[in-house]
Amino acid sequence: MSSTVPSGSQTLLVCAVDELPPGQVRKVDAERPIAVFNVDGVFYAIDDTCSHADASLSEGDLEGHLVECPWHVSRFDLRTGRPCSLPASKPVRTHAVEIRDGNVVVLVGTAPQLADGGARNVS
Amino acid sequence: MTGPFDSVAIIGAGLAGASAAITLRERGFSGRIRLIGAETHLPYERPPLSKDFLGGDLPPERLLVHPEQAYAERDIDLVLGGAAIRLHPAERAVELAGGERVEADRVLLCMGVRPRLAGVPGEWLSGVHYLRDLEHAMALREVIRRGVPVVVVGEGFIGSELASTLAGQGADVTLLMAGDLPMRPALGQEAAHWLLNRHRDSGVRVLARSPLKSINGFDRVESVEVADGTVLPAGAVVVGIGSEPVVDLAAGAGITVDDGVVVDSSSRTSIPEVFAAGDLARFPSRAFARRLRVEHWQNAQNQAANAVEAMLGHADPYDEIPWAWTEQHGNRWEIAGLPMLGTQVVRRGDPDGPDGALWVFSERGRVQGAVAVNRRRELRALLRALAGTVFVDEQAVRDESIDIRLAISSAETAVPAGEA
Ligand SMILES: Cc1cc2nc3c(=O)[nH]c(=O)nc-3n(C[C@H](O)[C@H](O)[C@H](O)COP(=O)(O)OP(=O)(O)OC[C@H]3O[C@@H](n4cnc5c(N)ncnc54)[C@H](O)[C@@H]3O)c2cc1C
Ligand code: FES
Repeated sequence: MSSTVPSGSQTLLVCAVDELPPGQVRKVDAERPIAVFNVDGVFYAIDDTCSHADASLSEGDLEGHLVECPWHVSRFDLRTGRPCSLPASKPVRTHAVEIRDGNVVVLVGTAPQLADGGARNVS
Repeated sequence: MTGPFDSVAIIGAGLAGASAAITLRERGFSGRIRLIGAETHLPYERPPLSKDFLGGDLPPERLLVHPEQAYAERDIDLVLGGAAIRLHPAERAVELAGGERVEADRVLLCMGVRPRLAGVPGEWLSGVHYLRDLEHAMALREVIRRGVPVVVVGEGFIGSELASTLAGQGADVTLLMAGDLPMRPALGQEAAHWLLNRHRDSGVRVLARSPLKSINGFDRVESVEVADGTVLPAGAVVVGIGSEPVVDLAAGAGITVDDGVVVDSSSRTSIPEVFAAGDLARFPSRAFARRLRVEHWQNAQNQAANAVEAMLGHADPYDEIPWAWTEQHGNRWEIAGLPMLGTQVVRRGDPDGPDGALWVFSERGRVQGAVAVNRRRELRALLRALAGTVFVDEQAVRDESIDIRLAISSAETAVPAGEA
């Protein structure tokens, strides 16, 4: 599923927290689409487009903190955006995620605040 | 860190060669790296040649494995447009077609495979095509543009993909198969049968048990004759009847070859300073207890990376489970392991349904491989599991309400079928 936000916006409303349960992902359409993952209650946002070719990482498989690209199987660490296997060599951008009023919000272009790159639902 | 050697020559600037060159630098090698390629192009991706590239108007630059500056930034010398013609291991030198000699302490052979020639009368007529290189694909684009009837010979990966792409472009296509089903060894009987029907539904004329007998015409192809005497008009013939590993250079240097360049699990050939990886290398697979030569993209990339890590002295033995994909008639197939080694097969899902199908192949309960059409996730889960020994619970595979990971069990916990 995907939600749409005005392009150019730096703050993307993704969905309500309970609409993105652990193990799930959401793609947010924006100028550069963003993929938001919930790993055991921690939210991570990365660029959706694989840095190798043009696959959509939100269609990939999630294993722990790694998402595997659906096309050529590069794995990216959601915490850092770095690829940890070929063919991708460039990282994808990571973005800060915040929980505001029970909603998951991505701050596009802002570095993640938690040391591990995620955002917890602490409210 | 420089290894105990100062220079590496990589022969063959395809996917394996590119992957090796970049990985060498990424792993800290600071000596000289030369990437020698017979083609004039920077290393490029071949999979699109039979798919999007052939059926579209992508410019060739979009096929590059890495942009040109990736090599410059890493101080990798590209020596393109000249084949290596001799290897002098004792002198640590490679001789190029132009007469140039390249000195190198270590050599990595990545020359891939070449298409097997038709081997029938008329094979040299103009209008007879193969598909391995960019130029081949460019010529085939022209065939599509001219709109002539095309006969595709061979029902393997290349022939089957070609038939699909050509039909998608509205070409008049006949697929000549030597056997009864397209891609039968790779997909197994049932999946191959389903694919056959997709070819037919898309307007491909498929002839079974119809090997090519001759290609006829004066200076250009006009028709082909099939073994049973049937004559088909043809404006172009594309031959996809398999390939041969490019082993000439290795054999000439006294390196052991046997349907490929024979390497150990460090990708080392019988001459310790010479390594080989990619489509031309035959390596020992511990997972399958046999030597394998894999002609797929992932193997070329990863074996080459592993080979240079081995050269530098820090690699695990190479033992990757084969994985490949193909796209035909809008369906995405993935293949894990070696399905052809399985004698039992069980299907999950429905290839005509929205969630696709997965076939699991096993031998005395032990999973050997899997094939998926439009059902990637479960195949990837099996691919990861195949790194170990896994047994299948066929009933659970059939039951889509059971997580596929629970339908297989690893060696430690499983009671193999038949031994319970
Ligand atoms: C049309 C097509 C479609 C494919 N589709 C898929 C797919 O969908 N999925 C998949 O998994 N795999 C696919 N493959 C297979 C995949 O492309 C190969 O496994 C991969 O390219 C092998 O890489 P390589 O570097 O070993 O060999 P190659 O890519 O063949 O590169 C070898 C290079 O070495 C050069 N060379 C040869 N001899 C010399 C010499 N003496 N001196 C210098 N250079 C030399 C050759 O010119 C060539 O450029 C496809 C292949 C083709 C041809
Ligand atoms: S597009 Fe993601 S690995 Fe190729």
